[in-house]
Amino acid sequence: MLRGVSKRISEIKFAFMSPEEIRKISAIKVITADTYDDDGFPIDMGLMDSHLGVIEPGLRCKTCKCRVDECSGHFGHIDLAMPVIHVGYVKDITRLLRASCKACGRVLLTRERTQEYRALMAEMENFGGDTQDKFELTKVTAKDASSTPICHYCGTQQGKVTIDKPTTFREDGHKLTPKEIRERLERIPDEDLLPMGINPKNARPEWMILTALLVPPVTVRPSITLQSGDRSEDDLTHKLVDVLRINQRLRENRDAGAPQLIVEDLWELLQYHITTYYDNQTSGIPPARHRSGRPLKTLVQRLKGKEGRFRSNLSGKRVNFSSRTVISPDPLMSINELGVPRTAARELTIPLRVNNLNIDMARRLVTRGPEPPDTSRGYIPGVNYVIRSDARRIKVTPRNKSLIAMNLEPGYIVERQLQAGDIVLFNRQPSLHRMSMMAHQVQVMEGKTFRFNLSVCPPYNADFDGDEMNLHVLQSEEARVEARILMRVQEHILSPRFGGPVIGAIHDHITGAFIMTYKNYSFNRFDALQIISRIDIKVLPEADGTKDGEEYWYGRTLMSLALPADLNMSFEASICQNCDTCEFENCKHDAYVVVRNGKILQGAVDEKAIGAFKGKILDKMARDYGPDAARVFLGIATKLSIGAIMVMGFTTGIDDEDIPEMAKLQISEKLKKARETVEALVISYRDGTLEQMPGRSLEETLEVETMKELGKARDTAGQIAGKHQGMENSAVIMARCGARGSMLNLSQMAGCIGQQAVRGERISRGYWGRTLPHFVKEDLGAEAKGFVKSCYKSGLNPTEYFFHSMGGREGLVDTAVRTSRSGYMQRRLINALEDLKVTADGTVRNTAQCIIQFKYGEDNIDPTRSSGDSGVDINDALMEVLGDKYWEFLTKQNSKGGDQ
Amino acid sequence: MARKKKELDIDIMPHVLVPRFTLLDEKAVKQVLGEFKITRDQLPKIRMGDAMVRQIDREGGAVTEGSVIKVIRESPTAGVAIAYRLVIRG
Ligand SMILES: [Mg+2]
Ligand SMILES: [Zn+2]
Ligand SMILES: [Zn+2]
Ligand SMILES: [Zn+2]
Repeated sequence: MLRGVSKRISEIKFAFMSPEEIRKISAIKVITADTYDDDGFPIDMGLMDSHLGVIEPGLRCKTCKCRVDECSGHFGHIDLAMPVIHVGYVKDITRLLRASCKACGRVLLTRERTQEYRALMAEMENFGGDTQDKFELTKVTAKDASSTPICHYCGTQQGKVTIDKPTTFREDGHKLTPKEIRERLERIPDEDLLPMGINPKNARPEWMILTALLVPPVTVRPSITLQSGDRSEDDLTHKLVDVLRINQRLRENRDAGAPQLIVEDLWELLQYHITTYYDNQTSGIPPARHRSGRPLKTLVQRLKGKEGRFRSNLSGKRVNFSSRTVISPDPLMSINELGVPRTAARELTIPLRVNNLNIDMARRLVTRGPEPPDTSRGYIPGVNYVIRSDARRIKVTPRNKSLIAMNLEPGYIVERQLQAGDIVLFNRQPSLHRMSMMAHQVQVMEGKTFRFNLSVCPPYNADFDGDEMNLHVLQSEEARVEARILMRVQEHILSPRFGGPVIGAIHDHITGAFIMTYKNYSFNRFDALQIISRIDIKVLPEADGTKDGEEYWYGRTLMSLALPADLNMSFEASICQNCDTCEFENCKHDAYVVVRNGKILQGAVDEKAIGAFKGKILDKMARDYGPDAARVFLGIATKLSIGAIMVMGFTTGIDDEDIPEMAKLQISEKLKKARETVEALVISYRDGTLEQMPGRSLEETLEVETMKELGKARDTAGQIAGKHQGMENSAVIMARCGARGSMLNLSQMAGCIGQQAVRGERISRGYWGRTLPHFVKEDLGAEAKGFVKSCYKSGLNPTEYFFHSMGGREGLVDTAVRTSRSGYMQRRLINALEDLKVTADGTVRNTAQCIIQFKYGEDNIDPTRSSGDSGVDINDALMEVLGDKYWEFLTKQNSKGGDQ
Repeated sequence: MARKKKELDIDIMPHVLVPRFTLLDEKAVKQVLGEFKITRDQLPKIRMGDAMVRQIDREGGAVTEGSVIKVIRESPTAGVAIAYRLVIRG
């Protein structure tokens, strides 16, 4: 378990660094602001002194005598002419100055009070209180002390310490120099530090005022040589040059007895440079800039934020054995597969450990070299590198391949190129849920894109308008086995989010399945065979009948080939109209699907049957027959659908939104009437005859009434248009069966677009008293406030277009704002929950083995294995036992049994 | 120290949003810790200043740092959910 772990961290000590310690660890005192001499050699006692480590090959470090890559660098230091405040500690300095006596340095509390706080702190220590709690306590202590006007020990009247951001302290208006502050902090006795939250064993407060500055090794701030031969220094080096220069001038002026004003100015300048050296985004001071005007990236900037050391180099890293390219669809592949371009497959490798049993195979592999020619089987994997037992990596080339193969020994590692069937991880960002990274089986293909089955688009939220995805090749046997068992696509058909299928038929799969099953559609022998030829079942089922001496097959008979022989279920299809009284299997809309013994007897197969997120059959297959069966089912069902849609033909065009002249007149008539009604409402509002709604002002009442009226008008327009768009209309078919689009989309294209809204209200802003100069002031009518009476097909008039753009813009802004906000929320949530896991005893615990939940989800139920929001699908169970209309059976029983 | 807040003497127990809190005696605590094979510090925490903890204390429950409280709440998924919390300072 601890493989590769040689040391374990038991505790981390946080402390201030004392000037003595700085000088102790310093390899050299830096005094010269120069870096390299004319010959390009580091200047002694300069910022690039060879004592600080080496970055150029050939040179040796003067401290440890090692070469580049062997020496990790050594710190140096700068002795500051005058003390300077460390920006990172300004808050703590303020707290200490306010809580301690200006004269004697004691904490401004009575001896007893101090004792009390010290005891509290000790108790907290004993109970293992966390740092946050201890910090809260010191804040209380400090606040208590700061409110004391006179020292309990020496009776000195205390001044009021204020701070001028970022580093200027004042006491009753007088400026406190860093030197004075340092002296005051020095006076605070050790015994008073503990209640202030500082352990005197680790730190003294005066160390928060710098008298020596640590200079990081050159390896931390390497200079780069440009093509032109010029040297470009790191931002940190630039900043240190500034510090050294000003430090030098300050020392000279001070020693020469220059006027106080000049010394103070230089001192402040030194403070500025050191402040920005630590944090170049300190509020209250202008950031230090490069000559080009770019702000310098100093210490804090290196660590902080998304591009900082922590998030970008420690929590997340760039990896080898990965690949990224554009994705495209391949409807003929299994959902588990992934098409990998040959060029990528030749770069990506899997380590093969050579042993006595596989050495011959390994030799054959290596003999192929890095680019073996295609065989009759097509692509075959080669070998890019061989790693010897002594960990030396040897590149395999066409010239040395036979030699390397001959010298192969057990213990060597052969890096074999990807081959068909290898398990790899596949991922699309943003990785918002578990299914954003799944394991696929490789298929090496021609072309330059990754290819996968369209049913796997929903979990990745991928489309093919240029999306790119990442592939990772697993490097250990354990990882590959784990991925195959836990991460394979078929294991993720059911989502833990809502307990239904996330992988399923989409778009044309659904349209195809629908048109082949809707209303007894039948195929002749030729077409039926054409469709069947796409799947492994090569025998046509028995014909459903003969017409004009020719046999025919119902589409649903063909679709039934995808189902297991013992499947029984019935459900409402997507096209269900929600009739007042459902007629079940007699539904005249063909909207009630009945499956008996693996045969679809009734109803149209659409989104509710096989669609992603909603597919009932898919759900049952995954649940009752397992992931293998579900994968096979989905493959057959989608292939049949595509076969059918190709045989039958399906297209949509702008004429799907055509409606007769008559209907257009009817719509404009209705809309005119609605506008008049609104006009009447406005008049009654002006007269004061409009009846106020409870809890609403008169204006609000008018708004609500008009919105209602115009909403109704749009719906009516949609209905009128819809009357002329029946199930023979392709756009309607797609909308109704759940393939793409909605009836609202259609009614906006053919009928009327309707009211545009900004912030949930009719459009009201713009000019004085009106939205656009095209209207009279104070016009409250429909058009003037953003009602669009046109449809998308007829086109919008200029004012309508403008209002529509306003509404559209709001939509775009909302999505932009929502994604960034929910992204940050997700980040925080994941950071808080990432180490939780369900243990064997059913409790949810973190890595410290603390209990977070006593039962997972309070009920110990895995949402993937539950149905919807209840643990058991009682309806399904009853149906299995009592048959389709179990409720009739139950009511009969109940009426017999009386009052049960 | 800061001013002592005036204690509100309102019975919050009957409120619909307040789950049922009971103070466990030492024997019961032992049993719970045994059941989950944990030590006290591995329990979820509740602050001494929590309104319900103060109420239990007022009603003579003798709550101290280290006491364990049983919380029984109605759960939309499980019907009844039981949790235990360790009383800590604050
Ligand atoms: Mg896209
Ligand atoms: Zn060295
Ligand atoms: Zn004093
Ligand atoms: Zn119906």
